[in-house]
Amino acid sequence: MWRPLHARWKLFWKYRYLTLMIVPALAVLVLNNYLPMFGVFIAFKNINYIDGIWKSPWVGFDNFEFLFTSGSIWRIARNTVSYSLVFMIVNLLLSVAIAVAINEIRNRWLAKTYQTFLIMPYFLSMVVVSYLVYGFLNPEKGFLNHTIVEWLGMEHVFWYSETAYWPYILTIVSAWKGVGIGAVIYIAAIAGIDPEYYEASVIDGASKWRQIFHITLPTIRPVIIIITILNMGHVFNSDFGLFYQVPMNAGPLYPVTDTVDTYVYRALKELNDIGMSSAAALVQSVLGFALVLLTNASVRKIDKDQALF
Amino acid sequence: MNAKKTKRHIPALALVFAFATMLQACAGGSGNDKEASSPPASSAAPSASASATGSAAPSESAAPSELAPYEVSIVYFGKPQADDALVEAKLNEFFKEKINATVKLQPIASSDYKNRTELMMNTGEKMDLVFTASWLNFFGNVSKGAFVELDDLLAKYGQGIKDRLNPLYLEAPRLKGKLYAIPTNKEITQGKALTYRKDIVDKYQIPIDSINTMADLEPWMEKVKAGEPGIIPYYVAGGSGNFGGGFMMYETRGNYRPIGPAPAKTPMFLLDYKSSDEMKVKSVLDPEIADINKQEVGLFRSFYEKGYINADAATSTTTVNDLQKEGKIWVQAATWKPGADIEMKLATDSKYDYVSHVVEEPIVTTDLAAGSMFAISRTSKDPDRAMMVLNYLHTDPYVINLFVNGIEDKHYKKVGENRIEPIADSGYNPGTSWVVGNQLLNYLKPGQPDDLYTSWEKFNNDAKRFPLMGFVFDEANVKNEITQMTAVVTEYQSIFTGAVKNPEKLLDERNAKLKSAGIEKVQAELQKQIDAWWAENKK
Amino acid sequence: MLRTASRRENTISPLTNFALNGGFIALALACVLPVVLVIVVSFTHNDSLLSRGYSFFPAKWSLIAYESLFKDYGTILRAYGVSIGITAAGTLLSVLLMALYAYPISRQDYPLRPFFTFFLFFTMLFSGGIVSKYIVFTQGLGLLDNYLSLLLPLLIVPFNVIIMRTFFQTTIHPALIESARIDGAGELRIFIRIVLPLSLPVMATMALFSTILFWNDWFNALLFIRAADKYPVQFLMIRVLNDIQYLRENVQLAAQNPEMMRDLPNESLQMAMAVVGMGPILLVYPFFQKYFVKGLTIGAVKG
Repeated sequence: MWRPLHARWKLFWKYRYLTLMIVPALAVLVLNNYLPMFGVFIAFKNINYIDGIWKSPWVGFDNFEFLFTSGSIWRIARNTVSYSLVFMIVNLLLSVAIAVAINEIRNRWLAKTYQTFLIMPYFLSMVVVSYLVYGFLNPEKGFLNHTIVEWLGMEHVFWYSETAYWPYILTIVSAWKGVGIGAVIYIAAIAGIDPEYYEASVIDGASKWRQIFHITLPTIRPVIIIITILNMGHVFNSDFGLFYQVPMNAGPLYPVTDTVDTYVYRALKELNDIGMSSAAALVQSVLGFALVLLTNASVRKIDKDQALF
Repeated sequence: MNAKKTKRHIPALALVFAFATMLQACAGGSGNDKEASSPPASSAAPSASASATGSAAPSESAAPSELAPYEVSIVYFGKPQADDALVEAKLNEFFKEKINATVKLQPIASSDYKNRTELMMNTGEKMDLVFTASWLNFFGNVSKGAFVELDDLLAKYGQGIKDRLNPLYLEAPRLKGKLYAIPTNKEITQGKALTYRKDIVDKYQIPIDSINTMADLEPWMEKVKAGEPGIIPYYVAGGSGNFGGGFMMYETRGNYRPIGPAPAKTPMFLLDYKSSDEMKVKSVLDPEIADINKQEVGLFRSFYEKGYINADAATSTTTVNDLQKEGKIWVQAATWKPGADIEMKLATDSKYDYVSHVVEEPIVTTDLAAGSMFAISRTSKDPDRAMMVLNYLHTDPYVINLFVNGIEDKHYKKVGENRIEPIADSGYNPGTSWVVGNQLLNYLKPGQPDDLYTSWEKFNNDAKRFPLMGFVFDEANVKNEITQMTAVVTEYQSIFTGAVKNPEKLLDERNAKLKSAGIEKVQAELQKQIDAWWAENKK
Repeated sequence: MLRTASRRENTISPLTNFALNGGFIALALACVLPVVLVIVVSFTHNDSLLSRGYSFFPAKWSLIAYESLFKDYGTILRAYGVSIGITAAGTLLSVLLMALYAYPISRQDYPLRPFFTFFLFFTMLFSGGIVSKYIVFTQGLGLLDNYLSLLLPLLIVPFNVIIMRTFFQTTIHPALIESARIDGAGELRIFIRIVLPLSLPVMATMALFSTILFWNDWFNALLFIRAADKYPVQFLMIRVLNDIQYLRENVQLAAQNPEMMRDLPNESLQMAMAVVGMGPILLVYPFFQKYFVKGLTIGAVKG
């Protein structure tokens, strides 16, 4: 929409205080995010220390080659994307369910205590989580083999060489670690609902379920949608710690645990070529970016107000 | 309508990129200025050293007053210590007087070392002396131009180093004939050995000198398993990089030794070092080498199935040291040098004595001789002074002991001419004796034998030289192939632990993948480079 | 007040309540027991760990891990100080700046809204990487060994800002702002007097996230902090765990240089480090939870 210059200026001036509010954070973004953005060019260069980042020769798309000529490209792409999507859906459903359910607990003190406990796994680093999982699954001294498996009269399971279990184990660990903290956002959203809505529905004789489906869920819908759009940006990324530390980097499990991030880490461990690692990161970003735009466009088609932009 | 919406973002996107490009332009400009004002070290060095040699005697001792004050930063592999500053001050007293220099100690912990130093190289941060090693991608960093050439500097200011270092050492850290680092003076190579707990050897009268391969060990595993219930007959910890099989399969099954790239520490290319003077490389795809691999994984699988190897071999992360302290280990394949048995005893609370039988004749290869070194960064403003400091670290017992052991009576007590006792929890115990300067000048610690250093010297003098000693593979042309091979190798490492079913089949699978990853191209490149090198350096 | 509010909302039946509580107790145990296990292991003697693995009831207890950790208690206390300072300052600043950015881009009538939303979102996906950041921070801004280098990278979390924007958009009705404006209130006044009080739950949520983020951050300390007296506690602890991982992946190297293996902490010491590193953050949630109050909206509209 074209406006004459002075009209635009007038509009800008009218909202000058809003713009001023943005300035401090804008400064942070510029310093912290945009100034270093020149690093994106590293993906197209063969860096040597004498020429430095600026003058090292351009090599076009050479740095991207290792990723795409790799025999494992389909395996890692499939693993990365499908885990991301599964985690997204599972964690979303569980977080929302927990938030809704905790809101219904009558004893507020208990509700608070549950919450405090539920977010605790989030504080454990993946290294520590990997020790705990190992304590559970260790073929010799592990809790599972020692108790449940023996009790069922089965033979000891060698968890770290059986690919069949790991999609579930990883999903459980991811949910266990992330659902509690994820629910906090929805709990906050539910806390913001005007109780008058509930009162009105009670007068109308609505059941609990009706309330949940007609008041609670619709009000937190915008948050769910926006989080989903944003998460789409990271579908091509994976939690390195979860896929590398937790399965103890066990080779036999790679068919189900190898993702873009662990692959790049392993492949470049020795060369440590920043051009190649930047190239991999750039591919993830561009694909994620495209996916967000796509998701955003579809959301916009259905409901303009819920879109990111 | 949608189109209109997307159009709205185009200015934002364009701005982002314009912004970034602008940044590049102006930052590039400032980069130019910087280089104009301070010419790169390599070109500065000759002029600076020329003036230095003009005024001072051509020896290492330039008079302090004639040198401008300079701070030499020392970046090294070690845990930061509480009393680093105290030691630094003491070092400064010394260097101030001798060469009007001060030092800045910059220890970096093991897990960060490679990434952090390469970050500093990438960003052109000022460093002077930098610890480096073959296993820290020294040769890759040299070819990217991280360090200055040292031949001239060594001749001018490093005479003391030259006098003390076994000449073999200085053959290793070279690229295209030029020297880029000074190795730390210690044991130049390491052999491979089977190390036993002495009381078990005595109890079962195990003839350790006749046990030269893993297969020879089998009957004794059986005996120990039967007689010593608490002991693990053979311990493998795949979760912590000890994959068991493969550790010494080439050494015990022939004269093949690794050469060229070894992705994830797994040798891919081998050379018969005793063969004629024809340097023919074989890859792991070669039937003979593949057969050695196959026998090894088969042997370990049979050990595992017979219960000689711990059940969690594929993933165990418990260190051997911890288990040794518990008395659960009776034999271990290990690297060996004189004094190794005592070192092992000390490392495990002196609970048991150990004896070793060396199964591999120690050979000096490029990688081993370049296992611990200092280089001078190209960002150094005064490489001359850095070399002078390094020279003192190699020659002056006071300085080197100050660096690795700290201050007398504060961090250690002197109990003899050449012998100290560290004070517990004193605030300085960086564990850097193998890192810095001349380890042969380090004070001996409790338990170390008096003749430790003479036996090392003898060991170094007797060590056999690998025919391709000094050869370095330049991987620039096969970078993609090597990354892919690395990824393949890491996936199949655990087949050597014995804990994985059908290892022979998996080995074939691995080799097929290596083939499609381009191992043959790498082999051809390696052979080409070796031929060229051999034609020039044949000895 | 809460009780009456919930009664009006029509409460669940005692049976459902019982089932719900049962489910939550199971979940809470699944979450808290592993943390308890970590604490128990940190007090377990290494002999027990080697022979029997992890257990809630170890055969042999021991304080050795904590004794050796706190031998150098000065360092740990100072590191706690750094962490607490950074976390407090960072959280305050972060929530303030993020809210100031989120509010304008939540306003449908703000003409620069699409631009600034995109400007923010773009940083979520694209970054220049560590090398360029290191150049900007150390050579451009001169932040080496400066606490700002620990604050700056985490002040604005685009994800959180966009969540905040969504909250503002849904909880604050445009009519409310319009009427305030007609009453003559300026934008800043509207923000402070109307928007902020109505948004306590989301502000508390963001404060919680920021607290956790600042407390757990060790990577920026790794890059930008050289002076040992400026290390945050999490960095101090994680670094040791990383060193262990490193040595595990490089056993051969370690075997050649046994000095590297010396002082390698055993598992109970590692767990003790995890416990010390988590420290007070474990119980941070209740502190923020009191701001998740219902009924804010009515009061504001009516008052």
